[in-house]
Amino acid sequence: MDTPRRCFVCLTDEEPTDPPGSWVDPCPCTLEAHQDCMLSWVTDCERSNKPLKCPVCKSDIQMDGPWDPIAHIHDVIHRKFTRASPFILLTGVSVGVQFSLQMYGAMALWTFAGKEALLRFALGPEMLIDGRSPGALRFAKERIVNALILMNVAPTLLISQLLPGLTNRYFMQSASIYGIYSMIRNDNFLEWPPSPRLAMVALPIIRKAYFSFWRDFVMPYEVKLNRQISGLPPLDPRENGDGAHNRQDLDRNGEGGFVGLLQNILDVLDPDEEEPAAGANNGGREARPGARNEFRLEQHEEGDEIRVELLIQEIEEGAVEIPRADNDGQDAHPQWDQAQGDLADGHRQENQRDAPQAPPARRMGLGGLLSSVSNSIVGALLLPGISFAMGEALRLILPRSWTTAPFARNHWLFGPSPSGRPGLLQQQWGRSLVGGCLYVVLNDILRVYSKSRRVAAMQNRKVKNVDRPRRKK
Amino acid sequence: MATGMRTKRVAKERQKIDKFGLPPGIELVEGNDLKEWLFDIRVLDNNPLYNDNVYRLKFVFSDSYPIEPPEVTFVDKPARPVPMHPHIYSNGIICLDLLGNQGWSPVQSAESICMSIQSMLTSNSKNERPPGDEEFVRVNRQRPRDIEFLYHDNTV
Repeated sequence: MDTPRRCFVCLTDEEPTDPPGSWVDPCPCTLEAHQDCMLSWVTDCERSNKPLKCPVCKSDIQMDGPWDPIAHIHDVIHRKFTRASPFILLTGVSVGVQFSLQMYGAMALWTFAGKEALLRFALGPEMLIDGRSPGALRFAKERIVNALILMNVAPTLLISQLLPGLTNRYFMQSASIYGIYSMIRNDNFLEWPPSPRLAMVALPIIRKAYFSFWRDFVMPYEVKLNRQISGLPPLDPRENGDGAHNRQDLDRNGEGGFVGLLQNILDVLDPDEEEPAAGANNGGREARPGARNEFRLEQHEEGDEIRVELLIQEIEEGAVEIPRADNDGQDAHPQWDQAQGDLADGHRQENQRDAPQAPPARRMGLGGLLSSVSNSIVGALLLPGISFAMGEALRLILPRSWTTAPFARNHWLFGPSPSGRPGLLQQQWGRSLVGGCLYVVLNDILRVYSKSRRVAAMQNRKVKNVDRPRRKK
Repeated sequence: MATGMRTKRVAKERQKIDKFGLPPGIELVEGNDLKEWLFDIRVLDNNPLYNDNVYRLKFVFSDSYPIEPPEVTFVDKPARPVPMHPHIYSNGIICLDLLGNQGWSPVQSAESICMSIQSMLTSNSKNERPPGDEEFVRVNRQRPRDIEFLYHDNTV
């Protein structure tokens, strides 16, 4: 009671001049510290995935911070989803791949475009109209072909989530070819409102445009937020050749998709190799594992795989390994490198003073990787359902005349076209399409918003005080 | 800020040592630099593996000390060998959870680490190096705290 408080981090005693609130009792035992000291320790614990516990009595340390409802709800949903997604995934796998794929395709078509579209596709137009079948063999053949087509729906959704680069390259081409083919065959092809075919052709292009827009304007901001969340200093171009390191960082960030995912899996499984043998030379960039580097460059996609890129970034919380840290660590300890003589000694001193050691990179656990993969798979598979829900929401929100077909009012967006096609929002598939796009955009915005709130909250948070009888008079 | 914290903290630890001394068997050899300290330690009982020897520990305090653990290694000198121990590599790197990011916390100090290492030697009876010592010494370029040791062995 008479002894002054002593901060267990910096070992300084309490001064009478200390502003009120600069000290905290983080736990029920005797530990006490400065708010600032505690916060730097808490940030470090978070970065290395250490549970926040009192090092002496092992009770949990609570944080106090401004509370944002949206960020909170987003976090809760994300946590629940992360917990649920492995089960959903396992169940899905165990139900037999082919059966589920076919069912999925049919269901997706149904949700997205409606029951009639599904029946017409699966059973043929004849079945729907008069129930006559055109000969058993042909009937069976067509049905089997269509069932096989339905099987591809799920893989397509998954591939476009996990291999966006490949998807863009492949689908853009085939979409263009199909578009040209349709234009030749059908004069009305380019008319508004669009036919399903035109939508199919246009979608990859819109998608690519959206991703490019996102990468150029929002990505840098989100990357910055990610780094702040993980407590890393912002990427700033430094002197002494650090530009190279940054470039490498960007290289890594720029490579997403399956290759990036693979890279991360390798990182998890093989942590030893990842820390490069930067060795004694300061610009240890060349010393990075050559083979993998080449592999990385070869597979370098066009750079439009933002989704997975961000997914991976979230896994690593922006802390792709920082080569600088390795180099400094290396330089600081010449005894690891017998070749380094006394001459380097002065150099080393200088070096350490100039560049404060960057904290070692946070390595994601295998668990984190798996739950991210499972999140993104289940997220991709739920997309048709979500699109449908959004489409239905649109139908409820928008005026009836926009979303119901029959009466011709000649409006460019909502009315039927001269060729008698119903408007985009007047058909279920069109509403689903617009709804799905809307969902993707809203989801991206919400994610960035909630991250920015988290960063803001991090700057204002404090370690929570625990009531202690002994401090009370 | 980070540097200021390290300097202040190391200076405080130094003051405490000057005021209260160190436990028996532990001696501060070089502690004027606020970045790097040298300790001499010996075991107190008659453990035949170590009882005639004095070992030298080198502490390097990074700028983020005490948020991050210091780097502690045995120095290999003619009069100061690296002790034989199943958790100590022949290049002086020590596998001790206290020295890794996971086991470290700011309540520890240079003194408490010395005491842990002392007791680690005292309780050991195996005259051997860790498995894979040669390979490790040849290949390892990592900083000790970034090495992901498996702290599986609680017997020693």
